[in-house]
Amino acid sequence: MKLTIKTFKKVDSTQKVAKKLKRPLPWTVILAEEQTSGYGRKKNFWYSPRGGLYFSIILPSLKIESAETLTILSAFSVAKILKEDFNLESFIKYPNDVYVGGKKICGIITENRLSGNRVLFSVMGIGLNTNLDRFPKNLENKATSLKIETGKEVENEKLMKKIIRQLRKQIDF
Amino acid sequence: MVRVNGKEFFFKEGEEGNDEKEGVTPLKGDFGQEKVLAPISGQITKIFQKEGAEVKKGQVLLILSAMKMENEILVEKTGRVKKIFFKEGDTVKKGDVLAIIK
Repeated sequence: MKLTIKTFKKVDSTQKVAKKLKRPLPWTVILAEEQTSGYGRKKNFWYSPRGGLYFSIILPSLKIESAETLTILSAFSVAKILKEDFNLESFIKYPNDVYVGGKKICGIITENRLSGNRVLFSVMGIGLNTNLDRFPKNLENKATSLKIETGKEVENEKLMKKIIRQLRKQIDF
Repeated sequence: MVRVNGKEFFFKEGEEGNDEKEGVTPLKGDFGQEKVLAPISGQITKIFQKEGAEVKKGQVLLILSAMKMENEILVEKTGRVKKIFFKEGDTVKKGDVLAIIK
């Protein structure tokens, strides 16, 4: 199925934008350069200045159990790319956070919308610290970025497409 | 033909269907109510509506966190929240009645 990417300079949260879509078609992606109210699980704030990679994907209609599996697979996909493309050893904190050197580099959130027993749609959000030079004081011992770890910058959209390609490879829709 | 108290009643075939309809058990007191059931076991992390509130079909009633995911449970019927059986932080089992919408 075709990937439709909607790009934004700044949004409150790519998850919120995705959930407000009138027609949340599978494999629609909301990509933003910056989030003012990015969030992870339990609505924890996700630091999202310009430079990082922030996107949300509308997933095909799934059972809840499959959405859970997909969340784990997406963390695995990110970890695989970190190893293969950047030679970074990472650790997946089940099921949805990726750490490098004990610091968080990527967070994944999946939200499902249910009516009765039916999953109307699922939205998976991925925040990956890519081209960030530094973090605020309260995060500098907890978070890291690709740039801090490798000294190099990456093309965010290209990397996003690679993550999604990896993810789609893991599943057969 | 049926004779009752000396009067004759004739029935056409088509009218038998009406008899069947009359035989349906009348709806009881919960007519028009919607029980919102927990589709999975989990923890209620956020309740957006209060008892007595008017809600529209498709509005988010609450968030049920399960399997490390956040699940928005929608209202399936426009009406009024008659009762919410849990509070934020409570854990629920699949099939539990979360709320009643009337």
